[in-house]
Amino acid sequence: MSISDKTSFAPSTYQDRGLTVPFTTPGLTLARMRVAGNKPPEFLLAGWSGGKGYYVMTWKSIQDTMNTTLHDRVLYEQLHKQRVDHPRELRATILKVAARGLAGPESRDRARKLLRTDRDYRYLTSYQIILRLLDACHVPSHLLAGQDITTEAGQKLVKGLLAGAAKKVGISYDELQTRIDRLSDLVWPLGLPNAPGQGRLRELLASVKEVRTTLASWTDQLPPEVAPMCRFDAYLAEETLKLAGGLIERLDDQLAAMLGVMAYWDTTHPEMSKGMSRLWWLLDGWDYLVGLIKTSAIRSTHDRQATVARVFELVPMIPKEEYAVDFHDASIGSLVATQKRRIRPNEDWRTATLDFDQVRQIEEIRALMS
Amino acid sequence: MTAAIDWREVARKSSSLSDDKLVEITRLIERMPEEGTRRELLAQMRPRLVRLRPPRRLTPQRLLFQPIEDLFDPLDQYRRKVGQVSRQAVGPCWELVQRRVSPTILKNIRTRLERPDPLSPEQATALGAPLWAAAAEALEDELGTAAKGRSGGRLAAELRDMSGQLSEMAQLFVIACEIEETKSNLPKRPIEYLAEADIEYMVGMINRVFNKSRQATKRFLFVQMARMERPGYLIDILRDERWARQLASSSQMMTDVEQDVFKDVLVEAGSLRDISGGFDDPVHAAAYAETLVDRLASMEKALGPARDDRAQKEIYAARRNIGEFIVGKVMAKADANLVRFIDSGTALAPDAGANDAQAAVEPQRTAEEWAHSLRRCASMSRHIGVRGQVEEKLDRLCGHIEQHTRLADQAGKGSPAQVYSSVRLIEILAGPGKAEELLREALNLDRAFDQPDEEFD
Repeated sequence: MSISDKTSFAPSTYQDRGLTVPFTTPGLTLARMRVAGNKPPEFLLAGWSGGKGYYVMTWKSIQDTMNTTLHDRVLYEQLHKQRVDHPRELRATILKVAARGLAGPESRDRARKLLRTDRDYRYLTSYQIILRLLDACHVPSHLLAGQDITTEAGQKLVKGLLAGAAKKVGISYDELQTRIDRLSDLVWPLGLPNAPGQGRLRELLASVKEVRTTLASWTDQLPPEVAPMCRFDAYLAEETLKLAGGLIERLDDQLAAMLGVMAYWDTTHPEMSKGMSRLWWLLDGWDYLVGLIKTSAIRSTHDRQATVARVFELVPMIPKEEYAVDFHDASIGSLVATQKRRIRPNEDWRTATLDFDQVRQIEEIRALMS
Repeated sequence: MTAAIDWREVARKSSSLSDDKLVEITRLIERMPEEGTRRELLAQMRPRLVRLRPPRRLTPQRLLFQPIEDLFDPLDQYRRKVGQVSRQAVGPCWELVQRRVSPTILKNIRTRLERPDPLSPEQATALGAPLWAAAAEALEDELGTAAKGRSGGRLAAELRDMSGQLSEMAQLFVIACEIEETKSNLPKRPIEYLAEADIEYMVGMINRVFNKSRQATKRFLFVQMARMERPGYLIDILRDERWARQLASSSQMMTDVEQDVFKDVLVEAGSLRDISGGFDDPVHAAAYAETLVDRLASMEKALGPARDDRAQKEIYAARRNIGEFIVGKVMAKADANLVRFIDSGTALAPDAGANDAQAAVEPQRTAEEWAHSLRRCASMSRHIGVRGQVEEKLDRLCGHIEQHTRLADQAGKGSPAQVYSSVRLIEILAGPGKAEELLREALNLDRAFDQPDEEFD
């Protein structure tokens, strides 16, 4: 396969690429779920059984083909029932299921902690938006310092200050409150620029940066057969970082002008929604890879090779709609062939049933996901 | 609570730590300045360390014997095996090496090992190469002299007594770099599976060793067999026509190695009856038994049916020994522990009073570890003739968990958290199908996820 053919591996759109679902059944890890209309979702399984390209299967076919974990059965049921079709809803559902302990005790505690952190961070973001808006409207925000705004008196104070801001924006208090709520819902996963603590997506981006650096440092130490795969993984991480960095910069610029966001809501909100949505999609799937590299006991050359091959198999391709990917330095066809030489079976060799030792390894990585 | 007490607690719980965490903890313990504490903590963790073999802090002596470590006989259940090297030979060998090898080589190694930055496997191989070469030469020379009876003294006498062992060591030192390179380029021990790229590497390395020393090739194959979870799997691969025709070593050599490895597995299984201690933890005992069953079953499969009655009897005896071992050392203890946990409600109410994440996770994880050890027993039971016993025990245990969950539910004492913990144990013991049945019976899943639950959401 020539270099020019490789772009056929890149999906056209994010919806084409599908959502990355962190199932715990070996063989289903990071299956991509595509949702179209009222049909049941379909799953794309990359490199399954060592074959080229992707298998496209419904959940029913998957159930007929392999023994799935209870966690995956419940997760699928919830994804299907709630018609999840966006990484943001996907994450909420994943955490809900994991919080029940179905992906192991570590994942359960991690999920509960994340749910609490998310709730707190959403609240903090909302408060930050109010403060910045008041400052932008020259309404004295310092009056809120040291106040407990959850009390009745605190609420009254906030309401009075926001009423002043609403006048400056030229809308009613209720409308301003609605816009603040909607903006908080939209941007809390990113957080405001220079806010205390980082939003989850900023943190994830920092982890992808670390992964890129790690992969780049391995490239020269790996055998010639594997090095191009590692270069490819690092390159995709780099491109993802560039695109995500650009999106965040634009969103930060918009959030820095809080008065403008509220005043020109009909234009800014859809724009920001689109930007956030693209950011969610762009980073979808990376948190598992970050966990994979962190948990791999990367001590020997073989460990590094195996991790690189696995990352290559799972790395989220950037869709054509986002970016015209041009890989000049590697033939993806030959890389795919190399990667296929590193596959391993997904079932217990003795009983041909669910390989729980592999399930436990996957659960361990899951417990590190953000 | 002092730091030392914390470490003792960590060491005590080592059986439930993940492999990676155990490696990290071993590394930290080895940095402790106080030797007594270090030894005590490592002794507590030994059952896991023996199986996992995490990289240890290097000393010149450890570096010398690193290529041989896979062939050393186990400390706690010594039986002489063909493919193994006796630990008793370590002392005289090290004494000899210190005496005969150039002090510059040893000084260079000590200087590098004293530096705080860790060595990569590749750097360790480069550092050890001159030592191994010099050790091989010194051993061969000394053995030659000792055989002719020219030198006297205690060491010479010891060398004569252990000439077979030391000669094997000398062969292994000749190919030490190849052994270490192979370790670095193949999966960690125990190797469960070799991908195509790994097999290609292995075949290439066998040929390289064969060209370097035909005599040492057999030793190299012993090392590789010892690193496999299922040596028979490696035999199958190397016999496969595609790979066999690429191998430079003779088929007779391969046959000899296969027979010797099989004999060693039978000897190891035979010695199970004599084991009195060392397997108090059912999790460790299950993992050990599984390794042994994997080795035995894979060898039986690779070599085909036994040709004579005696061999057949030996195989049956080995299976029976392992069966008795898991019934006594694993099933009774793991089953009793699980029942106690379930009845006390500890495992099923993992959040009770636990403020830090680790403490909250611990009871459920411990219960799951026991469940996993029972699952291992079920998985290997058909090979060792205890399938009926194991199935009966698991059925009874699953029934107990289900009944406990239902009773708690009926009495209004059950919570969704308890149900989820129960189904997790059932999933490990009996598979996801049965767990799903219990989950749907105990909870209305639609309602459970539709309504926000303070406990989870």
